[in-house]
Amino acid sequence: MKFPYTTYPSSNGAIFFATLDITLVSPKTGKGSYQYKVVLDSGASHCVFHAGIGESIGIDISSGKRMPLKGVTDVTGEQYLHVVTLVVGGVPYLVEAGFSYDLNFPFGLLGQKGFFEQNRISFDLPVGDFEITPKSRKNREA
Amino acid sequence: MKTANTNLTKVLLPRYNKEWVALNEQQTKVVAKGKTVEEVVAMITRQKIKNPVLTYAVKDYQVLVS
Repeated sequence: MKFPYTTYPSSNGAIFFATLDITLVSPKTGKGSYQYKVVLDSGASHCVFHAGIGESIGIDISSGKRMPLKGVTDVTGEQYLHVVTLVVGGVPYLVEAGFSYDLNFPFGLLGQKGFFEQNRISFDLPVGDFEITPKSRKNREA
Repeated sequence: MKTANTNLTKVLLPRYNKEWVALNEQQTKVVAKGKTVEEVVAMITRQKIKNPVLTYAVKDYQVLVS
């Protein structure tokens, strides 16, 4: 699946990010979110999303395993782990992701564990797109 | 599958800063905004907007990488 880079406003005119629109589905409630912008972040150890998105699909955020959140907050924050289905380009991925009230970043993060480990991903900014190729059915929903 | 390029420079600049917004399906305009996801979801549900895209808008995305 190829996706185009998205252009965002910046003080230098414009800046490109490898963002895409995904849907989150709670395996417990079966409820799906509206589409939500996330960025491919190879520096993130795992996927992290805004708590409000999780709440919108019925996840009780603070009931999850609590972990610190570093790097995308002004100070050390907290995140809570929950299993969730991500739907990316029509492909579902079952992952354990962090949900945080402290994610001080415009996008959710698709990180190494749960997303990069299930795909081969190549970036081609000069051409203006990036490609996500699923590697196997492991952890994917039927 | 390749989707059309999306340019949000004119859609988001400079009106929206540190707030949640919902873009229309074509991502050509902001159709709802609020301080929380809950507010925006309530607004787009009430207005029956089809296939919106949620994001947290900031005025200057350059600050994310500097």
